Amino acid sequence: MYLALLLLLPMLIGLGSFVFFSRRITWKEFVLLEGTVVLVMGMGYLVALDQSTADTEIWSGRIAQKERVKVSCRHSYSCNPHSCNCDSKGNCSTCYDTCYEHSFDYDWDARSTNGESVTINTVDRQGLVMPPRWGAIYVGEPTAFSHGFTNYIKAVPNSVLRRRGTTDKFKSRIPSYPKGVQDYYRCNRFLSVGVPVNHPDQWNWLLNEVNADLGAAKQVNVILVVVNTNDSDYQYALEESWLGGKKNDLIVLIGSTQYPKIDWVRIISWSTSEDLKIILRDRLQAIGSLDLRDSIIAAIRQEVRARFVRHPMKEFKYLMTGYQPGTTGTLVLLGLGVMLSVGLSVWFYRQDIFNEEWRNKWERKSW
Amino acid sequence: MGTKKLVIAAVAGLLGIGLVLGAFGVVGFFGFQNDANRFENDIKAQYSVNQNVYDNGWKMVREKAKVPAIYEEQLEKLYKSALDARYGDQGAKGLLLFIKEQNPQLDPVVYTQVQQAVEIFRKSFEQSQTELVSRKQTYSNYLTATYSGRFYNMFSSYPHLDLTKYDIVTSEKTEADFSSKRAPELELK
Repeated sequence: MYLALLLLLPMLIGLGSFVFFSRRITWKEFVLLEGTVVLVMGMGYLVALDQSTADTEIWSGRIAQKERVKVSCRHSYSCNPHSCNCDSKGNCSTCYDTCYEHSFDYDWDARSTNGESVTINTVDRQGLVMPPRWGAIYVGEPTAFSHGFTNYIKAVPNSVLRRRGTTDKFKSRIPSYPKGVQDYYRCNRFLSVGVPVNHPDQWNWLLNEVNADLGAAKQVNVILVVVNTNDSDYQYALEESWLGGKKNDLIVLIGSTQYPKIDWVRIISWSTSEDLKIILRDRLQAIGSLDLRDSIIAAIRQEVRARFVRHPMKEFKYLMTGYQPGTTGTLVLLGLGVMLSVGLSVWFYRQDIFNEEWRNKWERKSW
Repeated sequence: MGTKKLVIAAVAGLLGIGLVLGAFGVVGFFGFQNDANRFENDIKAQYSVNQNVYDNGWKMVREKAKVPAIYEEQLEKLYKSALDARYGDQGAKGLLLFIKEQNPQLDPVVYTQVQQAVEIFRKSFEQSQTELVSRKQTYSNYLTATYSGRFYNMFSSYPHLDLTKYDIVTSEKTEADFSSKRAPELELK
């Protein structure tokens, strides 16, 4: 109904043009005009829908293999100029062959246990020299690759499933979601917000190991956030800002005002494994100190392995029922439809694209 | 083109547009009915899920606490209170005291497990209830705040389900506070 209402005005404009300029716009042109309007606006609606739900999540795994692959050369150039396309008078054009700089190139590839692949940039043109970055890859190294998914929760800002009005208190202390995959397949999953944590790189390395082990089997992406506040309402602010995390996320949130003492622990996840959230929280709280890094990581590993069950995003598909773009989106779509209809009307008035206006040719005016 | 042909062209064009939009309309109408029926079925199903979560919750606590059958009814009442307010006088504290009195030989670890079990099921129940509210909210929005719902429902009169029968479960205290629009201060002693 939404789309039908949206189509009404542009289609009536098309009809009006056809009726008032019936000598200049033929039946075929009219049908083409209306068909184009329906198609373009339908696609515009689908694009708006896709934009509102498009999201990415991180899949974890390990490097399964690395290899140098011989491929066709990619460096072509025009060569061997010669005469071609000669006409009866002997006028010729100049044509060129396509030549390649090398008989082959090398790609330096790596593949993960999830089937993802990555090609490392070469250091020389042909790829004969092994890139140091490729040399640094080892089989079994943890990987993190970004994958797209449909996030229905993102499209519905007024859903009760989304928190609202909780971020003001913590505005300056909410970090950006760590979705960026850096350096081909690496990702930072340890975030410290105002807490002087020792060796954050080692925390991240350990988290990547946990994710590499459990990522594929449990479809999970564990993130650890340590924040300098004794107010556990921070959990709600982070939930609101990060939309509760991605569908495979398990966000362990630790409050610490006097490092390394742990003040409080909360677990954020769309998973409905409430036992995991509570038992893991209690275990980490009982550990009590961020200095006991290995114990914390071990507890996360054990509990996630034993209890995490990913909540399928399709369970939230009902949120999209009757979805319609907001007022701005609607006006953009309507404007697009009207402009398209008017533009095509003008074009068909001026051009006889099916060469059918011969009947009315004597009535055509020049523009 | 003469006037007659012009009129024919206009009528034919209108009919063409009417056909396209009509096709959208008919498909949309059945789609609307499907969606509305699905929502009503899902709300009923979610309500049953909530009952299931609730039922499993107190049974789990009973099993963990190894409470004799004769005390089950009392335990269920306390469990209900614990779901509502973990830290209140009628919350988990009361529940644990009851378990301790009925089974003083229990390992102290069991008390922690019981406390966790209560909280797990309180959270599960809360999550299930939020899911029910979300489905009702989305259904209500669909009927009253979308072009499809507002238009098609003129010919369908949804909801066909008495949605008030599928409200979430709250405590008497919550009902009383919301009726009086007064929330007494929390007493933690």
